Amino acid sequence: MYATVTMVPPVPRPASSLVFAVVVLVAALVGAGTARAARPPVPPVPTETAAGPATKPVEPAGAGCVPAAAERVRVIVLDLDAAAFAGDGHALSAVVAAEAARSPGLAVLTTRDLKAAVAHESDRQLMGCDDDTGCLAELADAVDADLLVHGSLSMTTTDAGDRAPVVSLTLLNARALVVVNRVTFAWRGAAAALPDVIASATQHLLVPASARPPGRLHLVGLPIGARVLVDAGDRTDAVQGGVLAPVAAGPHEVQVTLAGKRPSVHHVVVKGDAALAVPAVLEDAPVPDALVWGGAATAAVLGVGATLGIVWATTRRGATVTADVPVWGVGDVEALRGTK
Amino acid sequence: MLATALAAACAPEPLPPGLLVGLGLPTAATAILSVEDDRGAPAPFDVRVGDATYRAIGQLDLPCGGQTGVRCEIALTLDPGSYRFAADVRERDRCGTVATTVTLSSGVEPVTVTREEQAAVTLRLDRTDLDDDDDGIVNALERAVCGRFDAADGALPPQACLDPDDACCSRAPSSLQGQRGAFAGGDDHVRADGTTTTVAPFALDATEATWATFARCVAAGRCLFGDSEHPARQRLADATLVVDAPVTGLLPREAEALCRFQGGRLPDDDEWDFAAAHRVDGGRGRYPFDVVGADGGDGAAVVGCREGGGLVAANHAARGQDCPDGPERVGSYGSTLVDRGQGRPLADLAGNVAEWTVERDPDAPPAPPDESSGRSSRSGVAVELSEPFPDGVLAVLSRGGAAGGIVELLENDVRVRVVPTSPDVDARLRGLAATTGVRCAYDIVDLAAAAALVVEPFCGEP
Repeated sequence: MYATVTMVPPVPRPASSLVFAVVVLVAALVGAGTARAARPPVPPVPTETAAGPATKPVEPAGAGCVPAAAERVRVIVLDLDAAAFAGDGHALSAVVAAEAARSPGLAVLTTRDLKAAVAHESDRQLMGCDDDTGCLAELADAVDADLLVHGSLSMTTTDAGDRAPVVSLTLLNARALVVVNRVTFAWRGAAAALPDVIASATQHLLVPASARPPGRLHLVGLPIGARVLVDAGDRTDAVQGGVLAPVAAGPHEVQVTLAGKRPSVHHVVVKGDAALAVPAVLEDAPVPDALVWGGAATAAVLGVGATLGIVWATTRRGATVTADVPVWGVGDVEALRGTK
Repeated sequence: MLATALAAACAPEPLPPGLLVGLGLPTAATAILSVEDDRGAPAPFDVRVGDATYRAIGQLDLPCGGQTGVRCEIALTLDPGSYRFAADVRERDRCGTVATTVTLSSGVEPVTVTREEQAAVTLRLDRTDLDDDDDGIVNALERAVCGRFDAADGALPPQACLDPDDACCSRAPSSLQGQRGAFAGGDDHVRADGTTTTVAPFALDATEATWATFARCVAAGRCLFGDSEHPARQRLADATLVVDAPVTGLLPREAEALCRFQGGRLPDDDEWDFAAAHRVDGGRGRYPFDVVGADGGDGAAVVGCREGGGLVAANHAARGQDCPDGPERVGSYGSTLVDRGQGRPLADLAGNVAEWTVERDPDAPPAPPDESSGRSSRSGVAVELSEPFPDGVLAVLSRGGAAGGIVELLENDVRVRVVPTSPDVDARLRGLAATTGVRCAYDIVDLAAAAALVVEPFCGEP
């Protein structure tokens, strides 16, 4: 199964929409707390959180992200901005919506629901909305929503110098127009696992840490004496019979090291109350040429070699793919039906 | 903005190292490139569009569709490894429906991409027989024959034509095209030789079969399949061909295949004669038209050239006149309409082109209801004497006269009859085929239903 990838540059927001958004923003601020007394209380307003280091989720300042109310809270999940990733924002937001729907007490709406609810007006507004809180609140107001989830999938350069996708989600209190929670995950693992990363980010966005059960890692083939590091923290002592537990749900970098062996690094997404198998078999490290050849001259050669190796390692080549598709006519029926 | 970005991606500018995809696509086609690793999993890769670089996973819509004469080239970069490449070429039909017409593939063996050198991959046609509506016409040909991706031929015509240059959409069709006239039969009918016969209920197409109908039959593999050198198939590649003019050049057996493709058969000569000559008083008309005066007279139609204004005639060579033009669109001669049966009136029973009829052997077993192939067993242009005749047919006839022919051939009592033992039968049939078209007949039980049948889809007015 392929993920359909489309490339759609960000759509510039019309100036008229900005003006309209400001007007509605002011109106919403003035009217907040008075127009919908019958609705359940909206979440508390914590101070805005800052994005943490790559691969580490940012926990909300408050203990919980979603109010415990008898009545279900309406949440809008907007399409993720995935233009820089050549991704399908709606498809990605479907992952967010599906994960959000697992949270009790939430009634989840997507942009499609939104469009259906407010028809042409919302279309106009959607064209002008990216991460402008006033505009987003305007959308939420249109469907009487309490919370709003928006975010993006982009590329960043990590501390190691390579590029990695970054999932950023923001939970907005649509009534008070403040950010309730923000989660940023940088992911250096397999691209195929991105939906899991997005789902995990959604869980971190909406579910308090106390309500997120940890998972565990099954380290397959773990050599005796090896060290196990999770997100650069040594967890060797927590390994029992090849199983490391507990491990917080979410994306992690798992590194297994042993002297004389090549270190093993895996990026995994741990799910709550579940075990995840991680290969921990280590290969022998190559014998350095420096042990065979000594002296300053050899060191110089190695210096050149190292340079070439870096160039080699950072140069990605590919293939030239060509094809020509003719224009078909009825005279080609035999060829098209595979008989000639 | 998007259009600008896409145009930039297709411009022949220097490309960076990496995966270079170059696809020559038909006009208005787009393509979806797929990249899998050797385990069949979607492979991530970077793609440069304009000045921006995007990352795609597994699939990418190549942003080069619909650009005439521009080779779609786009630069991708991927990690070393083993990959398989594929592409779905997608086209939009005249109704706006998009479908995959052909698929391309790099083959079963994966392509190894290393850091050291650029690999060369050629995508080859993988599947060309995709047929979404399962009507026997592959998607790649639906546009060429005015079919539709999303509905079987014979379904409702499209609401509007998207491409004004589409030959099927360039003009309004005849109001009779695709309709049928039905005849109750059961009456005693007097033949030209004075003998009588009883004709069972039947229906005739309101017009002769068109080149468009023939093209669909060819595209479905039901007409002249495997005989791409046949003159009639060669005519389909003629850009000047009027697609809604009557098809000619088919031998009787080939004409029968065209009718069977439409669910019918060539008309028995008695049926055709009944439709053209039978009158309510039991007598015979001289022409299919009710009243005809060769010199104008008081008739409703003039047998003569169409040019000259006034009454519309059959573009026939009246005495002393010369009609240089060939056949026109079916149904062009309104004053030749025959409206004595039920359902739609019949056009051009006389004139425009002549029409094949047959005399069947009453003892021959009936043909199977769906003679699926219609494939010619001939090789090259050599024709054996017995082959031009449909199975179970004793004689074939050309009726009704053709544009530019002699005027007497318009008369109901005049016919050209050929039997397998006729001298120079092959040459005679080929000569007749040049001016003889195909009007198909249908066995019917329910006259009301037969009259309402539509057998040929066509473009409606935009």
